Amino acid sequence: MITKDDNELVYEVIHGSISSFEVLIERYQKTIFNIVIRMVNDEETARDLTQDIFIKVFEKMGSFNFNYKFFSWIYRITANVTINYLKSQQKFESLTKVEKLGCFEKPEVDKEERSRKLRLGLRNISADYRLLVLLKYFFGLSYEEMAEVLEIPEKKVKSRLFSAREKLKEELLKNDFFNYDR
Amino acid sequence: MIDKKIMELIFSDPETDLTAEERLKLQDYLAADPDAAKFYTEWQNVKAEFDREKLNMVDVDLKQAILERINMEKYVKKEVQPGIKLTVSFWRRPAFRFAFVFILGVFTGILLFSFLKVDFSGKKLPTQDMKGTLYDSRSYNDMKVADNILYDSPLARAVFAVRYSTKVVEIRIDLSSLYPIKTTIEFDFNNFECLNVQNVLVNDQTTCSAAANFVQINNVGDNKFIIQLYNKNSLQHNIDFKIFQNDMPLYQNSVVVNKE
Repeated sequence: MITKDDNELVYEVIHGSISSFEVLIERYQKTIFNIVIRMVNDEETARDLTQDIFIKVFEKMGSFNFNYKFFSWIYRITANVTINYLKSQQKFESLTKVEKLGCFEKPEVDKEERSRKLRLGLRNISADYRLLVLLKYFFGLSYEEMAEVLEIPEKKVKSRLFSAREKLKEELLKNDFFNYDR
Repeated sequence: MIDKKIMELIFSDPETDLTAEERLKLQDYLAADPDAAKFYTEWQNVKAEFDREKLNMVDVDLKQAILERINMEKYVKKEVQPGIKLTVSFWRRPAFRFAFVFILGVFTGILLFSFLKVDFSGKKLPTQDMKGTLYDSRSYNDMKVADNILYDSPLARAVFAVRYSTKVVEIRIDLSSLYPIKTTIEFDFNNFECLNVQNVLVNDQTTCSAAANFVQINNVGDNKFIIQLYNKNSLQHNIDFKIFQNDMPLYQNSVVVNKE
């Protein structure tokens, strides 16, 4: 079976193929959901937002620019949807949500605390910084790809990422992440 | 406190972000600064933690839910659209827009004509109300006749037909002379003012000039003029008609206007 690339599938969706859209969902739902859940730290919200993102993708498919990569386009929509959601929810956020995370598989006991602290550290930095860190370290995007996703120059990506890492470092220091005795 | 430049190198991925030279530089920094070396190790642990998180990717299947929502939204759109169209598109209909522009045009027209006070009744305005220099040949017939005077000699022939209304005095002049003659129409500027001199049929050797209290015609050949004077009041006044040849008077007469 020949695997179609993303842009081919997008073309087919635009011309009425729902099955091609299903393929795109299958291809990206896990990645998108995992970005969102790490951004919002709530499984139910992450499910809803992931659905919203795919619906938005479907609705805006007609305006997709075939000069770009589909993944950077869907990441951009993901970034916008989650950051908008977080901004709207900012006043209702509380750190306790982090403790509620039940969707992750339990890591080994000696590593559980480190994992929790990293998530807590991520949770405590701003949504913009969190997204940058996740795109870089969790999804392994290059600076160039990040620039495409975030629609900002590569140079700005680097400087913002530096600030994001500094903030994360501060949070991790606060949480004694670095002094954890393994 | 670790230097910002060293921090940048520590944060960077040595495999992809750094050049060989930068890698060497980083090694030198780390060797020289124990704090930097310690943080470098700690940051590697953070990255390792991220790598472990990658293995902890949550699996999810939202395909059905997404498709159902898309279908549902499509269904809702189909159901709702006609209703929305009825209310929304009413104002956007071209017919409505044309009607709106038409009504606006009519309203503006009515407003404009009401300012101009245009009389649509078809009634003819009394000639007495005629003002200013607007010349209407029909008004002459409605004017009162002051006098028609005629001078006829071998040297010249002149006809002065004088009529008046409450506002205007109109003098129609026919002049005919083989040699140059000078004709003056004299009046008191307190009572009359020259509004208009119309050359009805004038040759290029004849000239006409108007002043505050007279109009002068230097005539050769056959010429016709219409002179309109503003009748400043309703009292009786004389208008004098004189004809000269070589500054010698040939003829003189007066016409009384505002007789009634």
